[in-house]
Amino acid sequence: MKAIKDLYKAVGLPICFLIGFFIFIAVFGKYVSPYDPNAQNLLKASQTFSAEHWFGTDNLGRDTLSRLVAGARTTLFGVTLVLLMAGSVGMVIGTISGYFGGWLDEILMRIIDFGLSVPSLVVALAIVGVFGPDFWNMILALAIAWVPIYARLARGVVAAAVNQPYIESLRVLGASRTRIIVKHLTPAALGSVLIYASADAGVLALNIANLSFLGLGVQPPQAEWGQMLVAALPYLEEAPRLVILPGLSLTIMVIGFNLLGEAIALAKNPRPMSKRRLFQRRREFLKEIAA
Amino acid sequence: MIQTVGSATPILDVRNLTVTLHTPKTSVRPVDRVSYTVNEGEILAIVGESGSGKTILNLAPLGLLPAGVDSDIEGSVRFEGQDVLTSGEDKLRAVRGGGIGVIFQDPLSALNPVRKIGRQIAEVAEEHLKLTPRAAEQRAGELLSLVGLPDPLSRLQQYPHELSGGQRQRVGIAMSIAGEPRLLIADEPTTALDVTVQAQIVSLLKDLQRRLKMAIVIITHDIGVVSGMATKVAVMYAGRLAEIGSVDDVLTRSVHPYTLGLLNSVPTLKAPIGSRFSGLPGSPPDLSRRIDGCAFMPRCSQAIPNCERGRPPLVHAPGDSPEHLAACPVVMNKLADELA
Amino acid sequence: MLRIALNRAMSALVLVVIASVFSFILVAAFPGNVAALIAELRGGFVSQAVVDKVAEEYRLRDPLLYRYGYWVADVVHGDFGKSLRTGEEVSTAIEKRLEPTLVMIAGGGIVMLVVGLVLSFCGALWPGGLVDRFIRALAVVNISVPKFFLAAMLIYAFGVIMNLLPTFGFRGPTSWILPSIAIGLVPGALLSRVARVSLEEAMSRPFVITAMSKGFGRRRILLRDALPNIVPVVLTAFGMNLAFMIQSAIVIEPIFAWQGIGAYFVDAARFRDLPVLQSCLLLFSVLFIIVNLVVDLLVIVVDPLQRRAMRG
Repeated sequence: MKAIKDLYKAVGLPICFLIGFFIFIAVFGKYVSPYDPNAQNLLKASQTFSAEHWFGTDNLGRDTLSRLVAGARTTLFGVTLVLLMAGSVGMVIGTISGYFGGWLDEILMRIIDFGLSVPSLVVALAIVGVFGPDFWNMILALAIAWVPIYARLARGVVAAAVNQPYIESLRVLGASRTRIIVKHLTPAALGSVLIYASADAGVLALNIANLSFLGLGVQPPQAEWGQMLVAALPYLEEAPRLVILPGLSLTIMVIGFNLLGEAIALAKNPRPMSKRRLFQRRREFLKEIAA
Repeated sequence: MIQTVGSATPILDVRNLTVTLHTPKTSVRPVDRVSYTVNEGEILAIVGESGSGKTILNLAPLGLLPAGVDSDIEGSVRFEGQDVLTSGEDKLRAVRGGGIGVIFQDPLSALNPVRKIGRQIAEVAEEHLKLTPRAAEQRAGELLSLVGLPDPLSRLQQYPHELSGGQRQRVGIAMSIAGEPRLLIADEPTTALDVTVQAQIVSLLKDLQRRLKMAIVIITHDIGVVSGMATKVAVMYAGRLAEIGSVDDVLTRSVHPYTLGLLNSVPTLKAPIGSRFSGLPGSPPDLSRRIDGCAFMPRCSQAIPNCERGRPPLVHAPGDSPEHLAACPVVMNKLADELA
Repeated sequence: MLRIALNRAMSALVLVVIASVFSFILVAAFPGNVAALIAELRGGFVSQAVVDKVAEEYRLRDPLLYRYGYWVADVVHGDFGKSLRTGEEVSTAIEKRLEPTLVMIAGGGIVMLVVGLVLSFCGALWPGGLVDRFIRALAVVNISVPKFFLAAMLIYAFGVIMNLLPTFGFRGPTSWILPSIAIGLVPGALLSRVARVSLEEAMSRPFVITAMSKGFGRRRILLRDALPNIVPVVLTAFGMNLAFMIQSAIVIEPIFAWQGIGAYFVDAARFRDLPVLQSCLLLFSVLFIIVNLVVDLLVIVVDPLQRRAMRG
């Protein structure tokens, strides 16, 4: 509970609202959408905004709103999955590399360096290209592409911490290697990883959309915004909303993630005071000093 | 109360200057109603411990505070008759560098590491003397030899990291006089340097002052530097002026207990080996809080009940010099005795 | 300086080797019978004999290390194999498609530079002001917008509604405008963020106070004193973003129907065109490594501070 309060203070109301909104959709989406996102009804195809279908229907008669909600859930699910996988694997690799150092570190880092020097989309695309377009292949591909950065991050934290006196004293006190790693080094690495992940989620969401857009990620009929957008491109002139709505939703979600990451970073770096705070401070100080 | 002996307008006239600083974390008042003057040709040394406000005193009126700090400034600071606190940004910029030159404490961070030294000096001459780039570059070379750097022409093309600490400070000095200012503010110019180099810089400053007929305000906590070059001394404590007067008065006929304590704590060669290291007990007060009465009282061995009653005003010290002043009720009593 | 450069080059070389290994292993890991797949694609009757012959031809039964060796030898000689889809030599195809991709990246690079620098400067000039906050908000939105959405919107606005600019195909300078904006706007926003933060950091360093004491104004200090200090950082960011633009081309090219390498890669992925996939992966990886190397070397040359660290 305290964590949530801290988050709220750091991040501000609008972002908390946005995050809350998306969490709500993720958990309760299925019960909230008016129709089954995959239910086709050709009789009602390509209708525009109406009372019955708030956002209209697509070319196969599926309710756009429900599809948007389903898309949100898909994206959130994908992002969480990839981050969990990449984060944990990356942390393990990074921690081991940072702790043991030596040639193990060298080799692992070289491989990680390679992973870092090739952008995620290319790697993911290649993997999906070889193994076939499929939701799980996409997740796996992205997770593999995303591991290096977290490994690098964790390794950095651990390598720096390992040289600190307190680790040395733990060793002297007889703490086993595992204990040191699990109880002390991992939480430190976890902190950095979480902070980065919050900012990274946006990029990941975009990549999922990119792959789906190319037809190599989430497959129809499963709803996903990138895929919805590409399917609607041919109808850009007649039904632009089918393109705009998924694009807008994705933009808003990524903005939410990005703002979250930025706010967390901001919380660590105080900025100069706003005019209002300055006036306040001035008044307080004069009261204290004068009289 | 504060009289300016001498005919001409003082080149720097500070009256009731008060500076309050606000940062996101805290607010402090490092300068609390300070007044003094600097006349042409004078060298005023402002002495005090770290945190006494001596640096802010000089830099805040010119707007030279670090980023992220908001300041409230009250009082007046007149340079050649013009109050810089009310001047517009344009006039202020003309004064900075052109009327008043500044030498900073740490020459390494004061210089831009990725620009050539020649450029950093020449641009001041370009701006304030309206020289062409080539003429300015030439002037920079002349300035470098003026400050005692050998082989000035090749120096112009060098970068700060290629020089030693002492050399860098000389460059800093060259930069500060490139605009031909009438007043030089030197903020602890020797603190970051080796002891041997310190003496060189001090004599360089004296030499330049003589040649270029500038007034200098030198901020320092080193009594040796004070006795080496100052004509006038102001002692700061907790943002307030404790004592001010000619260098002889303040160093040899000091009256304020703080000044006495300061001078006493300087170890001398003549003291017998094993004699006690006398510092001042206690520590300076917190400038973010209100100070009742005399700021030095908690640490003062001569404190009397009057010291608690409101901030002590500056009064004349007993003796002949009309300009020797101190803010101390004990001194006030002595003065009363003298007059009686 | 030379030593550091050589060091970097060596690292790059190692990365290239790893890239080749990765490209090879990935494709070699193809689940399913490659020989059968190829035989089917070739058409005609597929019997075990035919499959065996294909396996022989592609050395599919040889030990992995040998196959890797052969492949590397081929690549070094410029032979990237034949597309499974079209039968065309991959190297020829790549050559044909190089131009559109390069044009798009160059255009995008220009857009990125202009947008990045202008935005960051305006923001740094009046920190905390209305302009700064607006630019910051714009940057966040910019970075969040999916590029394909941006492209679609650009097409809609300029192509459909206003009918001002060509949106389809690689045909002359006017057709370069929209794709360049689509691919360069977001990196521009990213760059402006980096530049803005670096400028702010540079402006809080002591030499700025020195510059102020010389009587210079904020704009001049930004340009003359702060800017040279941020060049290494901004250059690195520019290079990185440029490299990532290569990846964006993969998504943007199909939207505008440009036949570039990106589109080639996508087609290959859709079709499981293994030789093309392998070659493109290798190509992209090497391109990346090279761009990063060039940027690092440039930074080393440009930064006197770094030079000093080298002299030791």
